[in-house]
Amino acid sequence: MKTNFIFFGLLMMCCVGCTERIDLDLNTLENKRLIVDGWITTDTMAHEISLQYTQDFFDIEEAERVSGAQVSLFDGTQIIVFTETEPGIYTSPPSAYGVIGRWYELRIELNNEVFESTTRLDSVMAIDSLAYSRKDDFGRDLDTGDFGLPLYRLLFSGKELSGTGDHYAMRVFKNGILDTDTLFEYVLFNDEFVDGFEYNLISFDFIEAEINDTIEVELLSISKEAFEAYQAMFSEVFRGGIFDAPPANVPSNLSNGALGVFNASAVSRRQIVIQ
Amino acid sequence: MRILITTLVLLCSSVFAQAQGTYTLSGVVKDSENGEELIGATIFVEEIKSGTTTNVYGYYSISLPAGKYQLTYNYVGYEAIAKEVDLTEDLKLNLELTPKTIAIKEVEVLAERSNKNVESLEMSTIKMNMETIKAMPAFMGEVDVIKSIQLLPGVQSQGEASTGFYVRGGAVDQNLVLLDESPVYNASHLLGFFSVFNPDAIKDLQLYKGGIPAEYGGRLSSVLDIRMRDGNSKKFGASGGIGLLSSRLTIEAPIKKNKGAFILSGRRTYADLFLRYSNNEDIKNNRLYFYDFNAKANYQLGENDRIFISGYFGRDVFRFDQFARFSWGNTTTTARWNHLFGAKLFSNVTAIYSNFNYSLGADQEVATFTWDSNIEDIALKADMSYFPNPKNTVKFGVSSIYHRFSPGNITVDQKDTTGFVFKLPKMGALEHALYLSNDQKITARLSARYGLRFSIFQNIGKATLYNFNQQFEKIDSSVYGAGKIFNTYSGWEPRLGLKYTLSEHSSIKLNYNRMRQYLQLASNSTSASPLDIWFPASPNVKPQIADQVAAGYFRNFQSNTYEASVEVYYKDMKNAVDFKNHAELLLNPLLEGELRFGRARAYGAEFLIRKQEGRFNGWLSYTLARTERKIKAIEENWYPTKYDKTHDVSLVLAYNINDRMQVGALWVYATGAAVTLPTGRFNYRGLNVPVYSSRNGERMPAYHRADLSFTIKNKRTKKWDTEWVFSVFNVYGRKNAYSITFREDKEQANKMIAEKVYLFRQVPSVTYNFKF
Repeated sequence: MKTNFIFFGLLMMCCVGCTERIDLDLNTLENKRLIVDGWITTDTMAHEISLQYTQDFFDIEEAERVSGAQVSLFDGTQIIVFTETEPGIYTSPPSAYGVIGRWYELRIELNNEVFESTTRLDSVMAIDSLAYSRKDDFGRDLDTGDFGLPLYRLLFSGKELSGTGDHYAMRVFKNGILDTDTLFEYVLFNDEFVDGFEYNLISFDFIEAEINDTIEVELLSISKEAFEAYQAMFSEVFRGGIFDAPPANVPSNLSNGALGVFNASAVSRRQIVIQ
Repeated sequence: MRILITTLVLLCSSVFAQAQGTYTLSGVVKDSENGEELIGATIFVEEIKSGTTTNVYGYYSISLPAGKYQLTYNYVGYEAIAKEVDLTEDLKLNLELTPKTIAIKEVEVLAERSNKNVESLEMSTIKMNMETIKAMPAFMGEVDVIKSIQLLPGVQSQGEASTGFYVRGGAVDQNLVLLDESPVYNASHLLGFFSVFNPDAIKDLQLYKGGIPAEYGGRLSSVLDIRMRDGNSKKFGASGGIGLLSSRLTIEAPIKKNKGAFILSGRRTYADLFLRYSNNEDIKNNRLYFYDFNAKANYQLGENDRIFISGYFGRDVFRFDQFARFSWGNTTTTARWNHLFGAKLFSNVTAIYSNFNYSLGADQEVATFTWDSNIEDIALKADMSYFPNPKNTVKFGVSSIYHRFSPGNITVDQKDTTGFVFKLPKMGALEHALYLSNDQKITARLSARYGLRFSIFQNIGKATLYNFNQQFEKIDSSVYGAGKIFNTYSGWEPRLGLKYTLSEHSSIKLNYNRMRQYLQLASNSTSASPLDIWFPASPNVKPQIADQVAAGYFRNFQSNTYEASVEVYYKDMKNAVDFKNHAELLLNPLLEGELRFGRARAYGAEFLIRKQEGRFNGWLSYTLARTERKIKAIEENWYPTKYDKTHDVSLVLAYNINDRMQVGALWVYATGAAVTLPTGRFNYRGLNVPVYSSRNGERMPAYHRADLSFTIKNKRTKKWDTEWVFSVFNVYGRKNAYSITFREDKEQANKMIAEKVYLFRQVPSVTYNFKF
């Protein structure tokens, strides 16, 4: 929410700044670090955890995937073992599901090193209703998007859970395919200023769609640590404003220097068909 | 500490030892053309080979045994006046000095030049007059006092065309910027490209980098004391200028001839005025401008009393139709009363109000949104100068400030449903100080300035204080009622300066000062943003303390034509504040939990050669410096601050071709800023996230640029003086890197490229000035 307002400054800077490509001789990375991207949700399904290594900044190769790790998840009652189904991708049994209120302990063993993450699966607010509009927030007609399809503004209603400390990630699927397919497109928000707020047709995203497309919105509860790690990733990737904080390594919710995020999320969903 | 106080008492007792049959010569030294008092004019008494200087109100006082004396009144850029007085009783001698014309400057009488640079106690101090500042090439034609002081040794610029400055490794918020004694909390316009000081309204400025006199306190690194002009007390005058960016107009006149005067001075940018003629409705309603308004009046109420009222009002306004509006500005007002208790005791009482605020907002059809924040100061102070004899000048005083912080209020009004209000709690604090100091000529060669300041800081309710654990996580909070003082810090701040004259043309000087700072700026970015908020010391935030020692060698050449100095300094700062990684500084009620504390140190050497007068004048300065921090929670080892610049060179030249034409040139070079650059990266759901090694471990490319200006005065008519000023910023068009950013190559997937952002290449400008 706060970062939204920094655009004032950026706008002003755009008026005068010029950009030129330069060659930089950077120090190469001394140690490779483990990167974790994992998610368990309240859905019953094969949940995935992916492992890779960092690479040198100007390296043009694909990132190295991490094979041969022992990955397991303890939920207080049982251990769920993740097996490597393709290089660097570790998958749970299809019967696995998360339970609201439980603590989840992820343990990754790799080359005699252990990386751990502990997170609680919190409940999520319900999406009471979805709506779409062909007009923008100022009542002007929307144009077509990059793919030549009409742009729709999406709106939702719902009551934020009472009690502060709730963090959310929102994803949008079109006809069953993830439309917000990069982290950048996830809608992240929290209740810092708006605890218990009654969201009443608040616009949250734009989507290119056609008549009869089914839009599904998925709302996930995430932890404060995950929220902060994602925010830090945004701020490190989209740098360049003069009001940016100094560069710093992104935080993670993993131990032993591993980066990335392990999430345990409750899910709420709602669909709407464009007519 | 006890020894120090005893020494002070002993020294002070010598101050009051007085011979019988002494009389006091006192008065005010003014400019003969406009009646403005001259600050720091020297009065030299031939018989005692010593003298005094005028204070900030142009007043001087010197007590001598009865007898005849040869006096010389001198001020840089003015014709000296020799006077002979027969002192048989207390004598009041008000004098007017006449500015030198260029013609006179060429045939200067060498002996007239003062060796003040060598003889005065001042070191680590720079005084600049507006004439020098106006002769320098100015960015977009806007003469700027702060950009001028950045060209002095030990002072570094925050960035391209920025008015933020760092003094001897101190952060931007460690500079006390005073306009007629009132603190200016954000001295910048247009995101720092211009400073708030309208050159037409400024009389004099002095920058203290070290050896800070005891009458100043509250910031660690420097004091920039700017004094506004008093107005022409002889006749009506108007002056102004029309530039590409802004226009200025100043009107001044006597309220009663030689008794009082007023000055009104305004400046406004006007690029946006043209937007109104746009056919595009969206552009038509945009606004982007700033203005300054200075007003001052003074009046002499009889022999011994004089009052001054001055104010500054400035704002930046930015509006993007209905999408966004943003404005910020300072208000400072000062009321002063000078009173003479006899000829030897000069007093001044000042009441101050200062306010910096900003406001963001948007007015949309569905909702309106506002965000406000401000800091306010109400202060009262009394300062006394006592001139018992030519060997001593005693100063003492007391001050109290009430600070009020409103870090942020957000209001959202939704037209169809209810809105919400989010308010960060307001905070209050009191800051008091007492000081006593003496300038003493101990022997013909040795002089000392020694002083003590005692400062007290108190947090005052109504307040909510959050308590944090070792991991900086909030544990609980304490609530204090209105008016309740719930936390007090206090401490001594000793100040010392010594000068030992080696010869008529050379001296060595030494100084030490301890400073305490109770307010700081929550600023974490490359550039100071108007959104940055000031916050006070508290039970969670200990006051910052700096100890600085500096030593210097001063030497003048060719009968004081050239002044040269070398100074070295070492500054140690305790409770230095930095911010944790990815700190959230805006609208954060738990701001104090984002702070990390440690130590900072700065050391360096400064070289200056300056020629102040003559057809050809200017200076060359070079600074070799290092500034580091050690904050364990951020990095294990000492790391350079972003403004650690190893080498910093400035060359400023002015040449008067003839009476009508003048050329100005400057060249600056500085080591690139210390930055953190990535060493590695990882791809995370489509984002290429950088991985860094050490903080500020890399350097930006070096910064250098040259500016030129050419001034041509039109033939003087009876009443009007007019001139054209042409200038070019960055003559050779160097693309100085402002920031370095990285992005994925659009042509090749998984390939990162580096880009630099540069702001300006050649920027020409033209300004037309007039005066009558």
